[in-house]
Formats: sequence, C-alpha cells, structure tokens
Amino acid sequence: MSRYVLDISVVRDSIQKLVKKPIHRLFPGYLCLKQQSGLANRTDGLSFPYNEFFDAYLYVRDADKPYFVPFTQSESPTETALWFNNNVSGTYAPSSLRSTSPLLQVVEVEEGGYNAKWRLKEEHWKLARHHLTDDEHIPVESLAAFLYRDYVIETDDPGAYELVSTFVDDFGYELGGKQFSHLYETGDSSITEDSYKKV
Amino acid sequence: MSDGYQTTVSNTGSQRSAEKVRNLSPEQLDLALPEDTESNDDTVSWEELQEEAVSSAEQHSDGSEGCAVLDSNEDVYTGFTLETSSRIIHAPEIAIISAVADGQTTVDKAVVYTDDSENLCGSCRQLLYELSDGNAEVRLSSSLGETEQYSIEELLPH
Repeated sequence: MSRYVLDISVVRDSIQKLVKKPIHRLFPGYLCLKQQSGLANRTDGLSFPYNEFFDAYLYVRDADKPYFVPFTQSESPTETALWFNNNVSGTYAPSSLRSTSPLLQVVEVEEGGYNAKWRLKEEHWKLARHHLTDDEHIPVESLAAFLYRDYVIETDDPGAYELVSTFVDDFGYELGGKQFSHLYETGDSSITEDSYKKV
Repeated sequence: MSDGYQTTVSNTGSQRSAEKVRNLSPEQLDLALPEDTESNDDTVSWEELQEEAVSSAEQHSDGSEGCAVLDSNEDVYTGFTLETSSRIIHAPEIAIISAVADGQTTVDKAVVYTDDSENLCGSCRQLLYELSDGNAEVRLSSSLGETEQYSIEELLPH
C-alpha cells in the first residue's frame, strides 16, 4: 500500500466546517472513551487516557496553549476559546466534571480516584448526539481529516471513503451501523484523490 | 507527547500510521494564536482577562468557576468558587476581596467564567456595582463557548 498525507488545505477547510457545527467542547472526551470501548470491546471498566488522546489528536505545535479543539457551540466563537491549555485533567478528571456536565449525560464514572474507570451509558450514541452535538450530525470526513492531519494514511485508493474507513476502524464503529449513522454524516464530495499527497 | 497512541487493526485495507509524520503549525493551519486577538496597547485585554478567569477555575479541584477582575491600576485579581461546609464563596467575591485587600478600590472590568451557563448571582452583581462605582464592564463566559458582555448597570438595573 502507498502512504499519503492530507493536503493542508483540506485540513484547513475541515477545521472551518467543524467549528461551524454545534459540537460541544467536551466531545473529545466522549470520542476518547468510545475509542477505548472499541479497543476493549466493552462499554464498562474503561480507562480514560485523556492526556494521551489530546497529545495524539489535538496537539498543535508552536502555540502558547498546546491543544486546538475545533468544537464550540457558540455562534460567534473567538479563536482564543478554541485553544485548550495543558491542564486537560482540569476539565476531564472526575473531580472536575459537574453532574450537570453534558459529558456526564453520556458517560459515567464507575470508580473514582487516580485510576478511575468509566462506562458508556446505554445507547450512548443517541445521548451523545443530543447532549454533545445539539442533535446534529457530525461531518465525519471533516472530523477525520482534522484528527489525522499529522498522520499517514496507508491505502491503495485515497479518497473520502478511505478516510472515513480509517476513522471507523480507529474508533470502533461499523460503517453504516446504527451508532455511526446516528451521530455522523458522510457525503463530503470535496475530499478526493487530489486531497492527498504521497509521501 | 505520546506518538503511537492506540492504533487499531484495519478491516478495510486502510490504516493510519502509528506515529505522526508531521506536526502542522497554527500558521500552516491558518489558525490565529490566542495572542493574535489581543489588543496592541498596554491595556489588559478581555482575552487576557478571560484566560486568567479560566486558569483560576482550573487551578481549583472543582474547576467549574473562575473570575478575573481588572482594577483601575491595570492589576488583575483572580478567584475561584470555594465550597465549604458552611457556605459557598463565589469566584467574583474572592477576586474582589483580593483586590480590596491589596488596597484597590475600583474595578473596571470583570470576567466570570463557568463550566455551564450559570449566571452571576445578585450578591456578586451588587459587589461589582459597589466596587466599580457602577461603571464596570462584565463579561460572562462559559466552557460552552458562550460569551456575553454587559455593563454592571445592565446586570443590576434597580
């Protein structure tokens, strides 16, 4: 298979599309736990490695704040509000989350403390759409393009389908499955073979 | 950094690399840095005050509410909400009391940050009004990305 990276213009466009969607700032937390669920093949007893997740997917170099989270439910967000400081635990540690937090309507803490264990609530994908995306679908091509902006995609057939397929595998979804279809939308025709560069 | 964080085995023939092969910069991504939005004069900007309020909230284990006030000498004082068994001391109260304890008497600006959309209580509004001679500008912001700005007179009209 050949190795590709996404063209930077595609990543830029994807960020702008994501920012315009009413995705909650705490959505990365759900995504992290969904990935853990896929890896463990269960919905309970999950670790929540939010620091590693932020490093892997949200880190942007050369900024005073290390992470960029392109999610906001503000209609007129400022750039400042989209950056995230290095104190991730200040947001995601069990002691930092209020019971009214939208994230805690979708997931719950089973055991607190340093090695806290978490659980996805029943039909978490429905809860996630309601509490974390304002009942809207997330454009999955844009989400994947942002998450994988610094990674290589290995494929023989670069395009939108391969990008989505990689996301589906990475986060434990089934393409066209109920969880995926309820929360995400596909069909961004702007991502084609020309959106990739061979490395 | 933790490159190589959790890769899954692909079922579809495509797969992302375990490690990053580049780190795109804010400039490459066309992202404005936080400091790019700040004013160029010596006045403490709303963005700086906002960062102080968020930072103050995050320094506390609850992490839910923070406040930063700017006095007439351009000094910034911060506070977070403190819950004790007897009472809850709100973040603006602590920030303003810190300013007063430091000899300051006039608040020009205040940012109150919460992790939800909770508003400023009446007592804190009154405190801000009295310590600003009715002239403070107050920005209410939340982790939801909501930001609204008012004069203290709008928040305490009677």
